[in-house]
Amino acid sequence: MISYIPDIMQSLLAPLNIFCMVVGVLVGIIIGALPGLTVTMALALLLPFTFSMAGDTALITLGGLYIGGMYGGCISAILINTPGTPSAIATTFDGYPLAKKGKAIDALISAAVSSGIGGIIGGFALLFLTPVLAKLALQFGPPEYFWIAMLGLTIIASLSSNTLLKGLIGGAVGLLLSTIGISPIGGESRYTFGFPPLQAGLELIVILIAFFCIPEVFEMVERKIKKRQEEQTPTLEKGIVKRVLKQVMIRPFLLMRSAIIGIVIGIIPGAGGNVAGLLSYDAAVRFSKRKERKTFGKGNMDGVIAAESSNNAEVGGSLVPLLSLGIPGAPPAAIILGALMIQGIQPGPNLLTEHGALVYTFLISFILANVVMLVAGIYGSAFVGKLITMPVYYLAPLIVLLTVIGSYAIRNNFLDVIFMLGFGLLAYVAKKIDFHPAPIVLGLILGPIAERGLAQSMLMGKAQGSVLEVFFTRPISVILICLCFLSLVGPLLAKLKSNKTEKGELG
Amino acid sequence: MRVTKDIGAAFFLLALSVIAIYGVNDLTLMSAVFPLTISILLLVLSLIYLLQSVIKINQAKMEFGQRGIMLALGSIGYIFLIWLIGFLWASLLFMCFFSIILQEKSKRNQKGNLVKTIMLTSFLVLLFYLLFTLVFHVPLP
Repeated sequence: MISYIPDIMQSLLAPLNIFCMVVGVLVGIIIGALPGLTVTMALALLLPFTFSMAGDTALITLGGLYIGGMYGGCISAILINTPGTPSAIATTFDGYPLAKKGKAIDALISAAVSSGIGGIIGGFALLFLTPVLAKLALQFGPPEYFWIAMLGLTIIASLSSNTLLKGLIGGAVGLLLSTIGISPIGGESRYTFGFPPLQAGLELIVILIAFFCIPEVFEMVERKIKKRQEEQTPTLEKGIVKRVLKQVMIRPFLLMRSAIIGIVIGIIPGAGGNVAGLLSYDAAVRFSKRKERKTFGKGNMDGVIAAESSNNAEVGGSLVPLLSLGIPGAPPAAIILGALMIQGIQPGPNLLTEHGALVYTFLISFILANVVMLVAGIYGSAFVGKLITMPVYYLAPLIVLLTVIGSYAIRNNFLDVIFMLGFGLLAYVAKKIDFHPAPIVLGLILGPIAERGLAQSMLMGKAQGSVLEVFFTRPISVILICLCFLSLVGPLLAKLKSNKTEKGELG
Repeated sequence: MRVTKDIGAAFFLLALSVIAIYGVNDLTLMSAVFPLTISILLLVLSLIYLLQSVIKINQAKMEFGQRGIMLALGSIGYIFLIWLIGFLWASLLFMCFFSIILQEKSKRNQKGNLVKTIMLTSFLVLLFYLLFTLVFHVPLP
């Protein structure tokens, strides 16, 4: 990293990059604050904008948007008890009660500070863990890549969907979609049905926009957004920032624990900010003093601090497996993967050696963007609070317009727009039957990794005389197989246990 | 047998997996092994899903909001309009129409609201059109 410092400084001090970082964070905060818009949607919509940008500018902008969006969700969570993003669900538990007590600004500032600190810790984890995991990944061979793809799918299947079965089906559908086009080994056309545009396969960014934007916007117009009950907009009084800052900083263990939970959850593919926030909130309750436990859910600042520091630390964690293994830790990270691919960068173990300057610039800008978010959150969240009542009847058709632009801009191909809408409508229907888009999208992303791993492992096995030995006897493969098994069996055992408990209570 | 949303979905997935298995019929082993494995896995999972749906009937209906369906159909029309009359005019019509139709009746009938909505949406469409073409140099349909 030291050898890249001159390039990193040149990039970070470029006025355009500073401007894009600040704009990315601010736009992310606004979009995150608007209920119905998710960070993933915002990233998917912004992605085509980055075509004309240089690699460092594109990644800095998207990173800023990701960080801002994760924080922004807490603004509507606190002010109108509606999380702007799923990651802010846990923030509503104590954030809204604080607002009802007239302490909305206290909650907003503590959320900003916690998010900033959690995000900075997550950023440092990203900076130091990525090279470590990348080095470990160099020991991965084709069987390990196959099993890690399977692990990613089994985890996201169990975490993203209401039922494990639907999650696995979604993952399988995604894997199948990834096989459309020319086979990587063999070179034959698959599932093109004589339709030449399908020879190149499905464009990932089109699918990302289709699955993460279209169902959300259709559901947004179906939902009713709760109106703000308070007539007064929270305002920054003199001395309040210092007071709340002090309240947050005297809780270092809470901040650290929540950040670590967020980072670990972020690294696990499929578990997003909502899981991090909820687990961290739960830990805050468990580790609190007995007499304080009753105050959770009624306006305890610790609840807000735990949830927010965790969900922003998760951002850094989710990028660790992306950069080192090419496996996104969360749906927004899948969009960042798309951005890297647009710039011609293949994430994986060789990323740091082949594109070291760019990657380290991104990692350090990530930490700086959290500082920008902290300041913007403290002084701007009250203002953003005024914007969250933007009418859906303007927002929804505007988002559809942006999805059309975004999907066309990738290959200047109108068929991509048709595919985007077609898959978007399918995803909308699928969501109504409780099929979550995340396993399908991750299947699409991991499919080529899994297929290459499978095919190469079979060739290795044939050469060595035993295919089964190649798949099932290598040490790292065995660990990954055990983790796959645990991620499948774990939820089933938990369900059996809860059924037994229910029967016991009824009996 | 009453066809619930889950049973319908299970049949759809079964059909998809059968088509997928059939689709790799003429391919060599290296090209076919992965899609065939996944298709068989999908077939098995879909059968389990079908059995589960038949045994445990989910009475919940698949509910679509009227506005959601309206926007979905409108989006299809929008794509068709882009092909017919071009992006700018199609977007102006789409945005103006849905910005008005998605409003509540009471708001829609307010004096001056129609003109205000048309002006604001036209401004937004033009703004984004110019932003993408002149600033970001992103090609539009």
